[in-house]
Amino acid sequence: MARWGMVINLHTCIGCYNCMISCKQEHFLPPGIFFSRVLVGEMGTYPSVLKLIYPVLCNHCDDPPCVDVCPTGATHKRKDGIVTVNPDVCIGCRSCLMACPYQQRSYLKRTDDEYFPGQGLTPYEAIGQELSPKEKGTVVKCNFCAEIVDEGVERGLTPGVDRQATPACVKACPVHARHFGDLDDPESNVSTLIRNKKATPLRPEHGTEPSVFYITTG
Amino acid sequence: MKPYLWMTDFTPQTEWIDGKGALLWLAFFFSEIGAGVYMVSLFLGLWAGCLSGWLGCAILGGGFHMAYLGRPARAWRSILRPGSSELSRGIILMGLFLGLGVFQMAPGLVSGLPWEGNTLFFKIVLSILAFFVITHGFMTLSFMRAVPFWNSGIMPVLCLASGLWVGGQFTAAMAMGTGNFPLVATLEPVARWFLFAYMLLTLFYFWNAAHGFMASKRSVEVLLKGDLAPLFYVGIVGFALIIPLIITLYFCANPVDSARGLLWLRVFCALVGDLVLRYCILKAARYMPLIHSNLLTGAHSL
Repeated sequence: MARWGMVINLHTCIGCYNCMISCKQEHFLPPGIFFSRVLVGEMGTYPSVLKLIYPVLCNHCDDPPCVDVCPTGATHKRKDGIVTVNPDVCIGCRSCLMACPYQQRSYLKRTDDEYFPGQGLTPYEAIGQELSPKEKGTVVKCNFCAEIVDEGVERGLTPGVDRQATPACVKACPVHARHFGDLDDPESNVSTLIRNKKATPLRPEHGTEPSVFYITTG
Repeated sequence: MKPYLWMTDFTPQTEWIDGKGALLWLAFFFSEIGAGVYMVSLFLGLWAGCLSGWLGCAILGGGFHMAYLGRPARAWRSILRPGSSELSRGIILMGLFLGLGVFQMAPGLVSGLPWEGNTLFFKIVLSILAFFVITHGFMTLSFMRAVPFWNSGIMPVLCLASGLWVGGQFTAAMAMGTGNFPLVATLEPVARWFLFAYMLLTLFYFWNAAHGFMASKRSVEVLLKGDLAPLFYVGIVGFALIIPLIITLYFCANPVDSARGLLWLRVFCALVGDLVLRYCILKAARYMPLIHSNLLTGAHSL
């Protein structure tokens, strides 16, 4: 069984937010909710200012603290390493939000927010509510586009290699800063990148064994 | 907080204190203090005290818990993962405590039942269950490794001391309300030890946090010098610790019915102080910055 993971090359990323927008489109996310984010900021003071661009998303940890604290089993880790939330089982206690050291979960307070308040739903939003209904009062997060990955695998495609089986944010990246693949396969694109480029996860000291790695060296 | 501060600065937790999250703060307070009142009353043989504690735990504690949840109709599902979830274990134990509590109190309400409520069996089993209910809230917090301020072994012990001290004071208030001053006099030496343990553990908890991880140090800084400082000094130092200490020292040298107003003031301070203590512990919690300094060296310019 594969263990899906992602590698993000910070030296290639241009901070275009395409991953963020494509993720919102793919999952029909309501206003204010993001599964994938690009954090852009700066450190230091003029003239020694450092511009920071960090695309972040759920790390799909191998030892996920969010799964341990969930009292209902709504948050669970699949055999392929993808950590998902079952909205039909979640009770909205937000323990998983507190337990995630990467703060990559969101609580759906409302599901009827409009992107243009008072103007009604756009046709896109209306279709989204039909195709991907959200449960108010539950927790949501990135699922590595599990539905796309699963369908691709069923069709014999290789996620990360074949576009039809690859997560939306990876497909949308115009500079190929994002790579998706099987971490358990030593010859996969992601394993090769991690090995050759010495990619590291965010804050490994949390001990959660993230499946998202960052290339920080040229 | 500006977006970039989220990754380079310590992020405050908001879900369990701001907005509807404040209901969880109240839920923990009422369920734990209710269990404390029940436990103290159980050993004193106070049926009314047991009932008050049980009602506080079930109606207020349980009610706030349910009101906090995003999907309360599914709350029963929270008993499904006791193996790994502290929240799940707490809910199960609270259910057992409340269920068995009904059997313990029933003989005081309905005559002719084939069992008695004031037996050693009930005292032992319900004390153990009350102990778990009292420590449930802070125990849940202490399991959150992502929040170093909470991730401390002192949390459950502090919670136990808090439940017994405030629960004991509430029981004393009920005794005063009914004019039972001999009972208040009986409780006073015990109250001294409860206060002593509560003060010691509160100070030790903050001292330990101030010497722990960077995020927990920041939490202590927020309490001592930041936005929460007025609340910390007035609510915790003043109401929770200093005023009860002065009153308790006064009663070391004087009989309890010599200044009844002071007894009421101590009860008020204990309740308010503990509520503020719990608020500050929830509100001051900080996550570590998302971006580690070793990754910052690799960040690039646009």
